[in-house]
Amino acid sequence: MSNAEEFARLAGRVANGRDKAAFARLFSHFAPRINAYLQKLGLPASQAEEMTQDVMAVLWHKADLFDPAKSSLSTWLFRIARNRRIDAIRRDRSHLLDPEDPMLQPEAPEQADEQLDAAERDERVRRALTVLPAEQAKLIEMAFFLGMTHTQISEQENLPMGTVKSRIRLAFNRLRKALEEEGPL
Amino acid sequence: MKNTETQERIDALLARYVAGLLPEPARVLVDAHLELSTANRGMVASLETLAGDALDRIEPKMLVGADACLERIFEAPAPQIRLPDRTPAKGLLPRAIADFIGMSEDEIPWKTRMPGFRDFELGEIDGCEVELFWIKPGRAIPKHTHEGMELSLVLDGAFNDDTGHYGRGDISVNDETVDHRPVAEKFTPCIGMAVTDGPLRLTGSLGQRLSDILWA
Repeated sequence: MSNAEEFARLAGRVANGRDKAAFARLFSHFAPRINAYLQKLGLPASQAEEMTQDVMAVLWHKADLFDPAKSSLSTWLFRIARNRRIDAIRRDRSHLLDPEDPMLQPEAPEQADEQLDAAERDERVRRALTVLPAEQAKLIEMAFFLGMTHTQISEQENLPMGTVKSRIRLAFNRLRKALEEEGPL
Repeated sequence: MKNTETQERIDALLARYVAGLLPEPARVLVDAHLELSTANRGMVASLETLAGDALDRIEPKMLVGADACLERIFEAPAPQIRLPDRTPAKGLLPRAIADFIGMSEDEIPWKTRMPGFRDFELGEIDGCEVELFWIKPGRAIPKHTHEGMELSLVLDGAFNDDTGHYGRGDISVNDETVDHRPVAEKFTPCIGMAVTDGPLRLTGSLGQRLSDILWA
């Protein structure tokens, strides 16, 4: 059983059985990672821990909203942590318990076959990322995960702007190609 | 097909959106774009998948009070749940924009700035100037350049400029180097939302301007 499957199984036990032991295992894996992520984005340690608690509390109380057919648990928690942080900046808690993303709210209701596509799409982009040259994968991740600008990346990596731009462009092109490979998504 | 520079800027915009590090009006504009257009939904979903994977791989940082934290989670009452309203937006305005401006299409207090051109200025929000605009069919907006970066999202009708054709749901990105002359298409007024770097060199909550973010 892969990690992702194991996490999904544990989340199911939290949702259906209020299983504290299952939750504690998820907590020990994810809480330190969410904490690290929030501190990387510049939150002071005490605030990062408090926010980590908020995010994990959503999982404890609302694990039934997590749908393993739509995303991995780590992606679901990433979105909650990201949105919680945005709301803390805006002093507005309206997103806190909106674990779903706006992109999952298209004008028409989502069709069952779109969910099947999600698993296929994830597999394709993961494959595309693994075949990217390491230096491209690293830079694009700094952009979409840590939200760094090209200038910040160029300074931190001590690379000329032109190099940063071309590596990120190549990486995006590869991802886009992977998405377009087999029909529209 | 968009030129390379526009594509790079839209990619930079989507990356910052996924990271949750856009100024609020730009975040709303991307939300609205994803609501109206399928063009970048797959890319955003993919980047979120990969961000989840990155979270899984990050060097963990132990919580100082992990056990106490776990106890508090078990003991605290369930937080108030307010699930998002999923009913499709009615009319012109995507839900993201209607919620942001707090009014419906009929309530927008348009002001005529010149014949065939109206706008509704929301003022400076989170370091950005925000406005809705209305261009009469066939009307050209006089040449203007921007100080800093400008994002526009078409909500109705369409416009053409030197860089291409933009219809409902499309984002156009312009900077001060672009001599920008949008012309609304015939028959339908072109309505849209524009988010521009604030003029005062003030920065919003993130301390960064659109220009820093999109200077791809």
